[in-house]
Amino acid sequence: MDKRKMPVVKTVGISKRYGEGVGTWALRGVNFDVAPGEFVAIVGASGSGKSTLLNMIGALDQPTSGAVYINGQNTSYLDENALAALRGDTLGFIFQFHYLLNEFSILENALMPFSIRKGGPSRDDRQWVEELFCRVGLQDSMHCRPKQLSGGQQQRGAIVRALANRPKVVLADEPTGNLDSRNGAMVFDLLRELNTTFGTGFVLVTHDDRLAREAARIVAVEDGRIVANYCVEEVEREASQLRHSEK
Amino acid sequence: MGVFAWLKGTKIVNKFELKVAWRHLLTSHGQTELTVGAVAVGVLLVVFLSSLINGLQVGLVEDVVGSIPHVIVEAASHEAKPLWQMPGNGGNAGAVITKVEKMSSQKQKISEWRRMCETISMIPGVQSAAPSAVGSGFASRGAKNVGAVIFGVDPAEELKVKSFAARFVQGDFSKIDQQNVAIGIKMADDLGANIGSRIRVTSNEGVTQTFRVAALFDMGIENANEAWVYVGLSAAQGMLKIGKDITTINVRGRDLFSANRIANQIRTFTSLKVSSWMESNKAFLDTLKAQNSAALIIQTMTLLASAFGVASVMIVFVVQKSRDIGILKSMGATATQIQKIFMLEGLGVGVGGALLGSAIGTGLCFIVQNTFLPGETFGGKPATLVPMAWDFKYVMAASLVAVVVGLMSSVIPARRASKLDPVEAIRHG
Ligand SMILES: Nc1ncnc2c1ncn2[C@@H]1O[C@H](COP(=O)(O)OP(=O)(O)OP(=O)(O)O)[C@@H](O)[C@H]1O
Ligand SMILES: [Mg+2]
Repeated sequence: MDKRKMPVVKTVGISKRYGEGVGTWALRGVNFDVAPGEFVAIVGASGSGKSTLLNMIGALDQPTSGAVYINGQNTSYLDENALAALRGDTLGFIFQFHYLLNEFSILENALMPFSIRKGGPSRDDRQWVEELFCRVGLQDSMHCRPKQLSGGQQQRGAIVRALANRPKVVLADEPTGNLDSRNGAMVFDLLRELNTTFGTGFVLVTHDDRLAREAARIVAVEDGRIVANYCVEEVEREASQLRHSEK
Repeated sequence: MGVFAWLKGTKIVNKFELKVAWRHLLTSHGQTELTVGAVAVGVLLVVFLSSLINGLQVGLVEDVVGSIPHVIVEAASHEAKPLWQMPGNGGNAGAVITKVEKMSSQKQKISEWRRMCETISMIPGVQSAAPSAVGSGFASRGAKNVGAVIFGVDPAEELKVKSFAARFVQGDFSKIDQQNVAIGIKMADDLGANIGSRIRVTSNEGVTQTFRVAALFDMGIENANEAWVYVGLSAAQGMLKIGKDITTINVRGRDLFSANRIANQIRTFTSLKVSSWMESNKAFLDTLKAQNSAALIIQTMTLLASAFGVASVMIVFVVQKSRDIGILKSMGATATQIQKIFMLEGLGVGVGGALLGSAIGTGLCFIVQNTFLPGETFGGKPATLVPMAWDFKYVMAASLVAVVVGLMSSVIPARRASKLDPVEAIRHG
């Protein structure tokens, strides 16, 4: 397969049950993949299994059955340390709350992935992270602790950290969920922009349909299943074709 | 911090783990202070208690052993035994005879004593061996009369086997000879004598000689102050009618507690009666041992309490940091790295506690050690508020234990942290 076209993450029939016995089936046989540079929005009602899916993709949790491939590697064959390495190299995470480490400045937070994986950032890494801070408009607040910043600023700092290690895909669970609509729209636009400028893939869970419509692909989850999966462009093209033919 | 730098050098931990651990310690909202305090209190107590017990024991041992030789080699018991202890008296079980009969007829002496002293001096660990002639009698002045134990010694030699120079409160012990005598303060009191007074000393052999009091001593032992009389060796030899012979060889070892070994070695080449201070003061030594065990138990308990304190604070800390742990894991931190971070924190707490506790403990010891009680003595030295003998080895031992305690008490919390499920950690953030 063409390496560039190979999905960065791919799930094959994954199911997830919480609890023993009957338990709660949060996912029921989900097939899902993300191509390099793709921007995917996952939508669905509360409790439909969006977060669970995202955690599986991020190898933060193991599926009850089925397989998750990251970079072509079956994660069920990897031990804890190899998984950590794979996460560190391939993926970035943004959560609903900023989840920056409070003891460190946001610059230190953003450089943390380099410290974890290779003992510290190189000059290049530093430049790249500083460029990211400029992109998100935090160039003047890099040395602040998270507590000294607003919610929107914190979330932008978290975005920089997620992108610092040049991941292929950033997984974001309701990154705008904790922000007001203006800040939410701003963060969302930023993600779109980073996607087009740097070609980083994004998978983001959102409750906000208006924001979801801006994504290139929308995946709808319901009751642990993917019930819709469509490209916004294609749909719009089809819609416009429909309109044309009606004329 | 030094330890951290060293650890980094060993490559056991890397910069990331050190940095996170260090930051956690610095910004823990009081938990670091609390745990460091818990360890410090433990260390402080160990240092202080050890110094105190040591000080007490050194003083006590000094009081007991300072005025007696470590090992005594005697011709036979010059003190008569009560009759019921005498062999061949078995049939007389019903009769309780407590009166001690003197047996001056059974005079025992060491003739070849110069050779014997030389041989003893060659035993490893022996500092010196000094001859003396010991007998009993009484001392009198005017109409006053008191019982006496007569010690005939060469003062220079005697000072090498007994560390009692400081116990001579007046006059000069080295002056004692044919005409000069040293007596205890109690005897001086009883006889109404003072430095320069003349007293008569009569041996049980019936020889009387007049001496000038040249020195007064306070041995810290009632008996000694009351009855001991130091005269020149040849004076005593004459009074006890033993010619050029002696009755006793006093031996001093370099180490107080090697007395038993030295005694045993002397026994291998002589049939003379050999006794070490440790054998004669077994009850006293047992008391010291009991005291040591009690102290050890208290110290162990304290350090255990510190360990539990540290462990419980650390567990709470891990719970508080669980969200951070989840994030670090999502960024690629391995379980091992997480575990190291929290172990490092335990180590940091141990080292911090050790430094603080040692500093305060040592400071306290020195303050107490230098607070003198005017006019009182203990162990032959000016008495302090509490007898203290601080030793660097207590600080080393306590610190070492503290560092181990810090590290060990962080094992379980660190393990917990490393096992934390990132999803759970982030969900409940
Ligand atoms: N750790 C867990 N233990 C037990 N059940 C869980 C756990 N996590 C999720 N669930 C259950 O799995 C189902 C899917 O949960 P999930 O968090 O994936 O939903 P979601 O789509 O992200 O919802 P929301 O929009 O509210 O975040 C829910 O019924 C939830 O109760
Ligand atoms: Mg969710």
